[in-house]
Amino acid sequence: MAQEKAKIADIDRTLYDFRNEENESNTYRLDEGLTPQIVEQISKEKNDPDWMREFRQKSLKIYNEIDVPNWGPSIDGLDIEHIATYVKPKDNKMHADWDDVPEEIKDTFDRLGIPEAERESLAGVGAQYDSELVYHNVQKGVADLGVVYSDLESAMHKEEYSDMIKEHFMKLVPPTDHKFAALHGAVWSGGSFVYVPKGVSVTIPLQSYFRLNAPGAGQFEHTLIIVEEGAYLHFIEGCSAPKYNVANLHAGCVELYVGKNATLRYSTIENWSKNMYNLNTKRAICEEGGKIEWISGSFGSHISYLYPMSILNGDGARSEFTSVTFAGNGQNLDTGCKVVHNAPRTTSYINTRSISKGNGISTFRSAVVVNSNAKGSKSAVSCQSLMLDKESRSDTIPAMDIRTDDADIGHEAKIGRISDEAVFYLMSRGMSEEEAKALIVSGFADNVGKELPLEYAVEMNNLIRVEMVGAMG
Amino acid sequence: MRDIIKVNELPSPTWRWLKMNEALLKNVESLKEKEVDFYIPKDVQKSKIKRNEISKIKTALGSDMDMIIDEAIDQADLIASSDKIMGPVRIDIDYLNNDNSANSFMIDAKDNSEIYVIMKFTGGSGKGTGAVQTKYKVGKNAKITLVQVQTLGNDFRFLNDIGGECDENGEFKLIQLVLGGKETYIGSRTELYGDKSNLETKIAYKTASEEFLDMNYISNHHGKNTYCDIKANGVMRDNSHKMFRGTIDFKRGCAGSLGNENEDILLLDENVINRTIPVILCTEEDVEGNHGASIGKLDENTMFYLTSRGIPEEDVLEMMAKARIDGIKNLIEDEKTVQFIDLYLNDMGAN
Repeated sequence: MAQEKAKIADIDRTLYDFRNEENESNTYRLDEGLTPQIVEQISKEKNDPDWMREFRQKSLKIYNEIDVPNWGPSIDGLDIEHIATYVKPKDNKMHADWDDVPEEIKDTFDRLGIPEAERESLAGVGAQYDSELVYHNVQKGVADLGVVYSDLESAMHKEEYSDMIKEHFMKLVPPTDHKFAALHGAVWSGGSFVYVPKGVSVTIPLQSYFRLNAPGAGQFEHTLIIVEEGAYLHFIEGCSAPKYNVANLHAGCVELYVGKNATLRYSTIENWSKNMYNLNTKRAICEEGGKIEWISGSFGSHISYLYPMSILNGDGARSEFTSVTFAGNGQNLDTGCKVVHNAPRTTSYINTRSISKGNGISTFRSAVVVNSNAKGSKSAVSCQSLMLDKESRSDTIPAMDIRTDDADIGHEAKIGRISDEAVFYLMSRGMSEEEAKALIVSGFADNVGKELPLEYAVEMNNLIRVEMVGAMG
Repeated sequence: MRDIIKVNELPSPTWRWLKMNEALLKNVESLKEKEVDFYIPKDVQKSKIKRNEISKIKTALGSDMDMIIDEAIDQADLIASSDKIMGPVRIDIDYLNNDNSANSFMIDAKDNSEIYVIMKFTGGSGKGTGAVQTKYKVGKNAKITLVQVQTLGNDFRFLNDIGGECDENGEFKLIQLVLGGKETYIGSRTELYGDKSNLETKIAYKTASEEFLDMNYISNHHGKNTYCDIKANGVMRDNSHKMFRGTIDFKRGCAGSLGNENEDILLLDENVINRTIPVILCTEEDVEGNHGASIGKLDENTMFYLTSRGIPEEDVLEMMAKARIDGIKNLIEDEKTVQFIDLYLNDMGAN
């Protein structure tokens, strides 16, 4: 058998790395750094209600009191004094028609295929450019069911939603949670608000797309989704940015409330550029019989800290986490998830794949906590890592904290390389070595690809299947 | 006295809120060297070695453990073999009430030699602290088997620290039974430097009442085609609390290596706390690492079958617990030690 190895190239990022240079100068940005005055300026830009103005300042104080994490990838290259926390296009009006979006911004989203995706397979789309939403629209039929899909700031100023938002905003992820949650609380801007009424099933996904175009800037969008009893929603989140020589920061926050017997599927395809520090926080809480399904593909960023958390707070609540992470050259992606079983008969299933190549570092980190009240709970964790060459690194750090005897917990992890036997088998069926390895890598990552809607899987397939096959050689 | 010391650090830390990254011990009394009963077979050399001569060998409990031992002792008992030794070396430490003591050992298996060492830690029926550090070197084609049995009283704090290195084709086999002690901090760190060097670690533990067991096992793979197998069988009762850290670290260049780690824990009472973090770190492509954990109570079908045969439920639980311990105990190739464990477990059952 041939011993020479197929070379697996980095993901082709040309689709995402294009810059809109004209628009870089056509923006309004606050000074770099983080001071009470800058935070106050954001409040003014947003016309914050008093409670939010105070919340931001309190969060800033907490940010200054909390240490940076001492356990994950180094973020020494991130200097908040050189990050502009608020950048908006000069024409920052939000539009409900693509034709009204400024041409240069529209061009960016056109190239990313967002309007096309909306036409073909989505019930609604939100598009954020730097710190502000530039487009938001939901199909009339969906809106008629009482589904609200809007930017968070507009909803906060509407009488019918303002109390709901105040009640839920950063209650699942309080600013005290960690340093970058506090930062988010201080400077958040943009993001989406989704409300699905009791019993309503939104059969076609909604999607928000976040694009950070400005160099040396941060994006801090906040996504708040409330799915009421018996309702169903699939929400898709995509993100990308062009590459600059200076650090960019993404510290978004996602809070998901899943009602009794409701289901929320939250899919993310993260493809930030390789100068991005992606310090994002996502959390869901499920009531009795509720289910949260996380589908996550992490491909971009220089550094990532990303661990969606599920709090199973009602009897029989369920969580599924399916992810793939691809760490290429210059990337250190620390990803995984957390699950807290906090009610009887709750179940969780974690199924992850990590791929690392070049000098890329991929770390799977997880925590399964079963509290003493979670009698009859079950959890299964399966994490697999594939190293594609000798320069890469792959770690798995799964933690389990079980505080009742009446729980059934299983865990398995495997780390290794592409099996010579599998390559040999496929080659004996007529494939070249390159094709065989490409097929194996593609199949390895297919746990996420097969979970996405077929119509929408274009981007995902580009990243984990087509691109890899195409890049082998 | 030390107000606080840090032991059993996880080689690659995780979230602080989990409180798994290390163990913190408060109010550690100053320690004094403890007298030990040795049984040394013919052809085994026993002498002393300065601790600073073996300071490069790192252990699982870490630098604070070195510090408290160094404060008490400047020489370690050295057990060396240069041949295949037939009978076991026996080292017995019987702790007294209010003992605050330390011991340091170095086991040196020269090239092509083989040695079997059995350590027994007993007594400690009152309050006190015992700290034992065992370092080892396994030469080329050599083998050390280290058996440790602990049956300490339930007011006693015990620190049991191991660290060593294996040369080419060297083999270190560790069998540990932890059957007592109020607070036990235990761990082993092995550097598999030589090609085809080999580590086998088998642990059985039984915790009950308010006991706390904190473990840290580290296998660092440096040489090519190295192998490790870490297996822990545990039974937890009452309000006991256990923390298991297990790390397999494949260093760059350890091509062809294989590491397995497995923990199987039977939870027999409602209020037990069981925490586990099995870690694999990998900077080498051509390796295979696996870990698995199975945590839960006795399955209903087994319980139903056995109780329907007339066995009381409590006896079934004890029987299943004993079976887990026996699985590891039966690996001990010394009838005297096996009898000691059986006697101890029978007494525990009777009480």
